[in-house]
Formats: sequence, C-alpha cells, structure tokens
Amino acid sequence: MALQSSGQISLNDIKTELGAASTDVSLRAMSSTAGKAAPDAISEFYGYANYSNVKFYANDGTGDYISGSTGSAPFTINSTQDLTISMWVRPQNTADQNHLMINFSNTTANGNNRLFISYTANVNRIITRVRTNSSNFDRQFALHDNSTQTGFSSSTAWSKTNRGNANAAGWINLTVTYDASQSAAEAAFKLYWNGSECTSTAASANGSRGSIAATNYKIGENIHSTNSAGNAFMDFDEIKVYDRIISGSAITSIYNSGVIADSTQTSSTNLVTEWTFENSNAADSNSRYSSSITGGTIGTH
Amino acid sequence: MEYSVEKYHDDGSVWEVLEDDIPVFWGTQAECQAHVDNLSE
Repeated sequence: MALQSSGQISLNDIKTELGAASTDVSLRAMSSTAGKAAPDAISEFYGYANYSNVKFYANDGTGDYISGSTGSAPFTINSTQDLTISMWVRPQNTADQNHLMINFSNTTANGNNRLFISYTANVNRIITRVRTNSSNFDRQFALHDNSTQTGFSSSTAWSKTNRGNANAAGWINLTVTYDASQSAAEAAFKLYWNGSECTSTAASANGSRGSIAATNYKIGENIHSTNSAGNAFMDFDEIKVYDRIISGSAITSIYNSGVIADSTQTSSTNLVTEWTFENSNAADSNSRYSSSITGGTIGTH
Repeated sequence: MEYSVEKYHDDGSVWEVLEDDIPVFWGTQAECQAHVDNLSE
C-alpha cells in the first residue's frame, strides 16, 4: 500500500512501505534503505530540531577532574589499534599553566602506562604520548611553530587571554589521530587545530610500545593524581573517541566551522563513545565507563 | 610539586624533567638534574 498523499504519516508507515527491518526505524537507516544518500544532519528532516549544545564541563585547575573505569576496555592502546580523540577546549588560566587534558590507562596506580594529551606552558607545546613501561612514544607540537593553524605568533603561553585561533566564544577543536602501525611517532600522531593539521614537530620519541587496555580514563588530571600542578584549567566539550583514524572530511565535519556539535551531527562511524555533558553529568554516550565528576562543574554555553 | 628526571629516548640520548608527571624540560641527564636542582633552590 502506497503512503497516503495527504495528512500525517508515521515512521512506522515509512518503515512498512520500505519493507525495512523491524528494528531499523531510524530516519538515516531508512533513507539508506530507500536508496537515498544518508543525511548528514537530522535537521534535514522537517519537524526535527537541530542538536542543541547547551552544557560543557569546567575544570578549574585545582583538584578537579572527571574519572571513569570499566571492567571491559572499549579499546586498546598498542601498535595495531588506530585511534582518534577529538575534543573542544577553552583555556581559562590567566597565569602560565600546564594542562593534562585527557589520559587513558589500564591503571590508576601510576602514570607509566597511558595515552595522554597534555600542554606544557614553558615550551608552549601540546604533547601527544603513548607511554608503556615508562618508555615514550611521543610527538610534540609547539603552538608557535604551527602559527598558521593555531594563530600563535610567539611562544607566549596558551591562556584565557591568548587562546589563539578560536571561535567567538573562545573554544578550540583539537583532534588527535594515532596511526598505530607507524614505527615513528612523528608519523603516528597528527594534531588538527580547528580542522587544520599542525605539521611542525618540536620533538618526538620512538620508544617501544606494549599493550594497554583502556579500562580507566581521566579528564583534566593525571590518571594517577588528584591535585597535581598539571590540573587543567580549561573547559571541555564534545569529547569523542574513535577506534579508527577519521578522514579529513570527518575532521572538518567535527570542526563544523566552529559550531560545537555531537557525533550524530558530525561523524559517528567507529565512534567508541563521547562525552557531551548535556545530561549535566560525566556519563559517556555509549556507557563504556562508569564515570564521576570530582570538583569540576557543568557550565552552560 | 614533585620533579623527576627520566629518559625521554629509550637509549638515554635525551632525558626529561617531569613536573607532577607533565614533561617540562629536555636535555642530558646532567642538564635535567641541574634544572631540577635550580627549581628546588
């Protein structure tokens, strides 16, 4: 029976008309079943509002963090598993401040086995590192050596008054891809600042890598610390983890011309999980971890 | 604040100073130790 030409129709009517699987009733899936290009945004459908990003997480640099753990690691950090970590950040420090932005590990007992992304103020570098058994596989990016992408013309440290290229509200999208099979860290790690790749390397180390099950994570603080000097003084939003190297177009989509959006509106293929903070807590969207907020607060854009 | 000096490269050609486990300085082992000593004075 054809769909009626007037009046209201339901998703179930469309599903029946398409002969789609009974569990396959998302608009995107049914669009694909119908042989149409999958839409990029739910807003393409009349009656559905744009995703609205209201909440973010604020880490104040003094004892704040989000932490989480699981008995079943959603991904492994090693020399075979490709990864991408993307997040929006907004520095709030006025004095020079190191920021431990995010780390994943198999333990909270020490920092010897983890993947982390951090910032060191005195050299103005973002550091991407896989550290296993105290051996470093690491690439560092000086913000001022990547001035075209970052907007930093000098080595003056990243701060609230010196954020570099950011959107009107001061947010920056950082996307780090990790090509695990590369033997050189300079080839393995890539950093994209607002969707543009930072190609200049300040330092790198090609230490041996073991395998780390990502059963624990911490945002804003060292995995094994609670009030370190590197406690991040910055805001975070839409933190996404993928178990693949996302494409250039996906990175561009996530940047979204500076408009912060979740994975359903940007890139969701191979998404492990994400933290949107829209429910005013630290829960990740795919419930991969049991999480909590210590000290930090949920803010409103 | 705690400082430690550890190998940056596995072969010991470059060492680093960690400030509460965030890398902040790189050099020889002696240079890194001197950096820590200066910070501690």
